[in-house]
Amino acid sequence: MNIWTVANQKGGVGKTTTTVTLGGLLAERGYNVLLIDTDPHASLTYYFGIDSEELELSVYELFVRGKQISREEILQSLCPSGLERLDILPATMALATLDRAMGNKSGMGLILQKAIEKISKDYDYVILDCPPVLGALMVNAIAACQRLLIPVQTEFLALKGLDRMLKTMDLMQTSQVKHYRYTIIPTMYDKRTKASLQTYKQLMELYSDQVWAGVIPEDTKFRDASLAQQPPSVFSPRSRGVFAYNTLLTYLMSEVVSE
Amino acid sequence: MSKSGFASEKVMRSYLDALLIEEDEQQALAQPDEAELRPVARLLEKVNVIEQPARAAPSKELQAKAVEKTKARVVTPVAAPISTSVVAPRMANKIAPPPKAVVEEKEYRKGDFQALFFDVAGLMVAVPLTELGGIHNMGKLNTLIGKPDWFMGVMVHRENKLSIVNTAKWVMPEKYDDTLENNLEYQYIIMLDNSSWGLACEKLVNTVTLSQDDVKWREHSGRRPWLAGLIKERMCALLDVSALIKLFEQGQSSLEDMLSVE
Repeated sequence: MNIWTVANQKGGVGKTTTTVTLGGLLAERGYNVLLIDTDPHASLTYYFGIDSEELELSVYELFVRGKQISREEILQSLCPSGLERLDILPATMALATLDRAMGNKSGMGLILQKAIEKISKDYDYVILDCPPVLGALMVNAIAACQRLLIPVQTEFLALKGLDRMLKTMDLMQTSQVKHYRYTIIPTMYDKRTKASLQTYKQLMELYSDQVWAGVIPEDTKFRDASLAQQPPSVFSPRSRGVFAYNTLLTYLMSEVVSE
Repeated sequence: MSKSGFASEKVMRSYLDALLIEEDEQQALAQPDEAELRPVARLLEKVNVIEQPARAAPSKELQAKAVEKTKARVVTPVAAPISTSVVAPRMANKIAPPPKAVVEEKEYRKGDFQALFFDVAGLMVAVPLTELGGIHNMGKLNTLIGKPDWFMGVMVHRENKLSIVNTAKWVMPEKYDDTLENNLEYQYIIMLDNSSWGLACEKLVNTVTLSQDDVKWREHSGRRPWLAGLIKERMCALLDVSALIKLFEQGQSSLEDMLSVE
């Protein structure tokens, strides 16, 4: 099982779009994929038209039950996405209370990791969508992953958010005694704007080894796909945005093979 | 990597440590380290065993002469504190061929050589610079609950996991009480050659050029190969680090045999 976490402490950089599009493409390539929503705003969950407030089980139960939760219970929490081989573990608003409830109890940042281990035979890929806030949920999502995907909007304020994200990862590496592999993904790239060009240039200068060489372009099809509650690869498979994500996925998977 | 830190990094570290460190995981992490660390502990214990009787051997007169002789040879006083993370990696030429059992073939057996003296709770130990892996400032350690009390923890340095030994606790467990612990101020880690093992130390004393005659060399290569010899004037152990690493690679059982007291 491959576990990727899509994270950035800055909001609006394309985390959910990246999660859904990569998940959809992987499912289309024949892999069993689980998308986990760890954001109390439940953007990923709502993307697929799931009203998690009406569900009995969600990712919240994973945290409440902790180690006690069984594989069967986790599988019962899953929702279909409408696309074959693509499932969703939905988020609820109640997740927002977890930081207060869990405090900084020992090992509480590893709950998701342990839960995912229980379903390791059921999926080929798990992709976690993070909230844009550093807290127990983000820590859990990052701690669980083998690879961190950091979408960075190609605009002026993006680098500061990236810097904080990398610092968080750095601190977590020390705490967890684990080396995170990460890939920075330039998103919302618009070659007509100075901001995109300059930010991309800066990204390559500062983090060249970790930056995916391509870019995810601005594409209205992403918004249209979310309105249709479909992965972009289903809604508009020939769009330039989906083409870019397909290229990214090939790159990420070639790295998986080489690992 | 990141270009700037959090203003409240200590708070962040504490928060993340609490979330990410739990007993089960700590044990899992510690297993390989612990297996390697046991031999280190025994080695250090032997250093203590050897040093104690040797301390009483020479007369005061001889000691005074020896001190004078050593002072004359001090070439590089090490001024603490040292600000850089790695202050002394490979200060001298590294021995190219793999370590051999015959002590005389070591680089530092060919003539005058330099050794680093360091201090742990008043105990002085020396390492030939040719076998010093480097010196790190003591950094953030991840303590592992349920592990032996001498294992200080793991420190991540440039993506490498360094296993840090509480040297004082190993060397003088019988003297290691609350008072000693409270007075200990570990500042540096002495890395053993290319290995991931590091000995915590309080002070870097100095580097001294020693002649072959300054050391009472171990003549029996089969016994305690980790001990290169005893530095006469200071009556402290000179570690043969490359031999020590070699012992680790040979595994525990052979190590036990080789470490048996003469």
